[in-house]
Amino acid sequence: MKGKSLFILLAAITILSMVLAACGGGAATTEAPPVEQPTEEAAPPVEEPAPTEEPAPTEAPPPTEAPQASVFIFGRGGDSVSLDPAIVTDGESFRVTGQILESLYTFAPGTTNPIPNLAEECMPNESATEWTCTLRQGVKFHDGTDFNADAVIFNFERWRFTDNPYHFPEQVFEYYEAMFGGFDDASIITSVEKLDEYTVKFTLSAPLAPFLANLAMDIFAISSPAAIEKYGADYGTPAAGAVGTGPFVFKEWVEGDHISVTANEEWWGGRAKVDEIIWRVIADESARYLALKAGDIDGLEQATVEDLADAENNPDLYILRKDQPTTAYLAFNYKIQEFQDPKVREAIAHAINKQGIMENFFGENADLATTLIPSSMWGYNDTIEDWTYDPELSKQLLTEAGFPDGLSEVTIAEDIVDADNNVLFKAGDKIPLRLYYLPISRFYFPTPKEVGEAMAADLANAGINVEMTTEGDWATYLAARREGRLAGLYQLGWGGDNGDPDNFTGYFFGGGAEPIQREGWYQNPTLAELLNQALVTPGQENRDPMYKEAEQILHDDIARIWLFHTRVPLIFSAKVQGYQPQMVDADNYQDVTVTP
Amino acid sequence: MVRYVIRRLISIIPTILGVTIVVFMFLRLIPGDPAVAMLGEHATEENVARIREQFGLNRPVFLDREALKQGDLKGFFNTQYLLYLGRLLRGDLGNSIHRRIPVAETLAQRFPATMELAFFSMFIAIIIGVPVGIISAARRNSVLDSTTMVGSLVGVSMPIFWLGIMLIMLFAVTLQWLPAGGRLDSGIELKTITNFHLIDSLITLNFAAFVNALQHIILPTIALATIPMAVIARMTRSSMLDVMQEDYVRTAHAKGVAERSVLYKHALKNAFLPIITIIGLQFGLLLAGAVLTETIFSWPGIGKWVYDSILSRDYPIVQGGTLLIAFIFVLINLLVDISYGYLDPRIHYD
Amino acid sequence: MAEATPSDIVRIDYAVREHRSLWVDAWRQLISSRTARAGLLIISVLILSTVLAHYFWEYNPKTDLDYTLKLKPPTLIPNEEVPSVHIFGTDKLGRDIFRRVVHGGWNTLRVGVIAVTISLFVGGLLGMLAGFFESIEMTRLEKIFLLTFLGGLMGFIPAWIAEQPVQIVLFAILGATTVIFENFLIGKPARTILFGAIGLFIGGGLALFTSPYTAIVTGILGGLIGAALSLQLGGSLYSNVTMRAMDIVLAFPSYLLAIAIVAFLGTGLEKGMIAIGIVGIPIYARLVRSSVLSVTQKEYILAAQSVGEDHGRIIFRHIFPNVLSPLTVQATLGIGSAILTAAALGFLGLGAVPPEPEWGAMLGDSYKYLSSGAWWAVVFPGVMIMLAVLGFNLLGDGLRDALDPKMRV
Repeated sequence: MKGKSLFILLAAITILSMVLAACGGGAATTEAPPVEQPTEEAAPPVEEPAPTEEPAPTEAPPPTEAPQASVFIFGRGGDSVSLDPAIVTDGESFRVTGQILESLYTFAPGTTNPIPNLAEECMPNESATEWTCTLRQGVKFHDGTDFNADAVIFNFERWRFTDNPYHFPEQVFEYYEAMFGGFDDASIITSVEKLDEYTVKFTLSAPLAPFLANLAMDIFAISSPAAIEKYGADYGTPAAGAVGTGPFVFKEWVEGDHISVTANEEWWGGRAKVDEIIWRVIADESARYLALKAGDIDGLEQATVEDLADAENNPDLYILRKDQPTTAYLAFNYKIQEFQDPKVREAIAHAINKQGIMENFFGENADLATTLIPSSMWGYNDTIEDWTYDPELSKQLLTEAGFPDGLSEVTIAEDIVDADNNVLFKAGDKIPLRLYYLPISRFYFPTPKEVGEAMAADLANAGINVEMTTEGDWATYLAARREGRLAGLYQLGWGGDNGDPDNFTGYFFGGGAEPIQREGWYQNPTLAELLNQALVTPGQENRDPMYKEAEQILHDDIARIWLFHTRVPLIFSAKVQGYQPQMVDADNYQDVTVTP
Repeated sequence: MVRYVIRRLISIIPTILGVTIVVFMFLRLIPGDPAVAMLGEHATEENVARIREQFGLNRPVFLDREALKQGDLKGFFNTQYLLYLGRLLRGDLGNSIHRRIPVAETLAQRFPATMELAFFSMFIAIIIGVPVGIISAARRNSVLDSTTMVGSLVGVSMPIFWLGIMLIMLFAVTLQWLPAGGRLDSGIELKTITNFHLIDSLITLNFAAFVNALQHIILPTIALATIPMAVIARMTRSSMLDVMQEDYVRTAHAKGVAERSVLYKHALKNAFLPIITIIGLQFGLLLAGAVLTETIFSWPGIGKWVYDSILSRDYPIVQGGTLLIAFIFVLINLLVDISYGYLDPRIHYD
Repeated sequence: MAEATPSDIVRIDYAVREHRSLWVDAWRQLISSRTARAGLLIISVLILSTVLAHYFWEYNPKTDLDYTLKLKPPTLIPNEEVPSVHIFGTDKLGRDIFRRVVHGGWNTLRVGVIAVTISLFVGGLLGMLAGFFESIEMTRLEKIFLLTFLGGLMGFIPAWIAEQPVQIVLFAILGATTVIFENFLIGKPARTILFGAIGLFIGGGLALFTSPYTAIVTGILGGLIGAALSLQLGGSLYSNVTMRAMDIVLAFPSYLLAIAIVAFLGTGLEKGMIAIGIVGIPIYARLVRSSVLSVTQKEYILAAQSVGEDHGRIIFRHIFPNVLSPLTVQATLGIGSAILTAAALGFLGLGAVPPEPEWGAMLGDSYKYLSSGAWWAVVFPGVMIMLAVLGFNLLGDGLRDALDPKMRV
């Protein structure tokens, strides 16, 4: 039957095409594979014939008595975006680049104090507009090229100039712009000059108080110019990895699964104690903790209070906490008429049982927040007295504000429009009082949905009846927040980048001379003026009181309800020692040891 | 037959084209854009605008009527969709917006993971489901029959994500027999050739990796295979029962042909038609279910990846991933249809 | 249908019976079957308990919070630590899981039923029309309606390009005209040219107001549309387009499509219903179309046609009752799978708006406490989902046996 043989042929072709599609880009499939040595063996090049009746390879002792490589496997919730730190903003990327690449300065262990790193020191001139940096000598990039003034200038010019051939158009050098005022002529750094092979001079258009802290950020780590020239826009991708001067050398990146790095034998700070680090992606918290208990991984980040309690009672595990400056808050949209009344805001502030929420959901992983700036940072104002949890007082305040029966419906004061100027809520519209919860868990706001439920229950007890909602997913939520159209109370938070208080209060309220769309149309010209002054005032001792005053203003205004400062918990197997959590930037791994 | 196959192959084209249009339209209808998703809390107006510009997201989606008004015919067609289609024809799926790496590259790495799981699950579902169905049919109304049928109904009703969780709880946590997730332990080295770990480890004679990969795939396979297994068993049973009432089977019985022979030689072959249909359909559902299974078992396949990319609005990934899954689905349906002609000589395609 | 396609092989043979006795028969059959009785029992208990709870066991999820009771295991006898009875234990906010499970049923079952209703109506209608137009010669009036619709549909493209919505109306009228002047004066090729020219004029002429370049493009498009309309492809074109569209929806991985639709519409139970409903449409469209196709081949339909019964009557008297039984079976089974999809969406955080209880969301929220031993928060909602789906599957199975003994799966 002719039809049949044809069918077989066609079926074979189709299956083949599927298999090919499946291997897409993989190596040739039909050729005999190169004879692979069973793992780990240091491989003496024996021409191995077809493996006949040889003793099982697992039983054969390795030919060389090399000590077993020590590997540290860390479980995390998500994959890195790119290993080129200049173009990313996510902690999961910095976690890895922080081991491969180094910046001119770094933060002293466990603090936000910048200390010299690749630079031996940086000295300002009188007016703090010129910084002369002496670079560390004899440092080599992983590809063998020298670290010197040219490398520093190459990197800074790549970040700054949009017409630089390595400032690839498809890449966004977001942080450079945020930290140094802009690109090209808008950049606060107006020039980086080479004084000699190991000295560079930065010229600034104006004094920049957090200059050294900025230099210390993982974002501004120095990459090998040769590597960037070699890989072009692929630098930082799984295929190319990253090339720096750090204690670890990039090995491989299997996207969505793991990244591994090996110890840099020639690191100027002395070889790392562990031979290899593997970061494995295990998205689910529960699964991650189980993997740790099962010994699949040696350490992890982020866990529920229940798991932490379990870990505490487990002699094989111990807990560290990353004191990252973060703040979670509940914001008001000031285009809602009721929220313009401080009494209503105060009523809401008194209605939420922050203590209860914190104990139930975070335990030791968080501190109650009384201000935007966390207590671990300078500029923190410890004299502010938080709103008490007092539902009765809330009810009373609501009555005074004209809502004796509680609040469940609010009025839009001004039109709320979307990006295309479509009116979403018209002035005068009555809408249910909404509580927007974050659609995903963020490091500064774990379990937002359940915390939202608890808040809703607290508010209901004080006669404030909220309707919980969220705005689509994370992307939509952020967009809606940016456009100031989260019409109600909304959850959000912030994680600091460089330990400078301007990175907190200034970022949020520095533009408050006009209603700030992104910040729920909050407006406070006095505060804005103060913050903008603080940014350009030199000297921490002069700036500190200004930020304290700003915090007081925010509190008196009940601008927002500060909820908590979370700490990211880390759990390790007892085999692991020497892990150094950092407040900002990536944790340090070079002193980690793993006893088998 | 040839004409039929060719016609069917051609008919795939509009379906796939339709899939691209729908994906495109939907993604752009979903509010929030990749630039904002990518920049997060930090996003500034300028950067959002810049990213939109760089990835051409500010171009019209299908046709640019403004350009046409100006008489710019090239501009008229110079739109996101048509540019994408043009690249697609050249085999370029574009770059991920967030990671800036070619979608095809990641797809080549992740797709085999999904397919390995899907094929393995389907394989298990068939080799268990079909015999169970046959035995049930042969011993109709026995205790065995009713047990398997009730069991299979429960199987069909299983929320697979829940089943996956329960399996992890039992075998990974309580008994600690099998790993809770992933494809391979971190310490295991495996040279990737096809990216199907089971196959790679076999052809490189890396038995340690093979055992490890097998351990990892067992739980997700059970979770994923349960529903198709149950459906196949039920279909096999009822199809066998139908066939066994046919005249030629009765005749065979009457002629005194041995029971086994009747069952396997006469009945089975003819009962296969609906079974094949259901296998094809189930394969599609299996691919759809991969989103959940992959989420629960941290399986680095495309289901979870595409899901995450919908949330982060990484358009090229969603487009590429969905297109590939749809293509496989259509292809399998085609195979099923063609196999009818092979299994049933009464069907002629012309 | 000149050729055999695979779908014709499993042609369903519906005996022609007086239809009331069919349903009475079916009911007797149904309650005599053990599986169906089990299914009915499960479903009745679930529905009854959730409905009763919804109306008589007051529960306000908005104020339900008690930190002292968080994550307590099932407690049957109150003790010092847990002073109240919680047969399914409590969740992270100290809420009684039994209570939430019972109330959550209201939401979950509603999603299942409404989602299936949506797919049933839309899919059923599309499939019915496709099958009908494909096999039965249309009356003039029906042709006019159909071509008006097709004309408007195709006219959408030039109308959009030229930013002139009026073109939609004009092309719709053009569609109608092709039928009215069907036998007018000239032969087929000439008519095609004529209508092409009119289309060209509508598309191009009007668009001149927009811009001359636009007019060229829309003119060509309009000409093509006019020519296509004059060919009177009506019935088969409609059927082809519909079924191809169904193929496209079917080719999408169902969960991902539902997720995308929810992302588009926004989170919430109602949105979930719509998403799941849309995803289910092709199944019903295909089922109904193939049932209609097989029914319309029957002698009695031909007879009805030849005595000049009108089409509405044929559809409702003869076709509809015959399509109804496979549809009932499919819908019952469909509720089960809709519940599964809804639970999956809830699990991924795209379901009911909190604090409203919903099984999938309850499971998804409590999943992360599994590693600390809180199995009850995950097991019970899951068991409920399974039971509900099982109930509908059992019933659907029984229905199939009862309504058509030949159609067993």
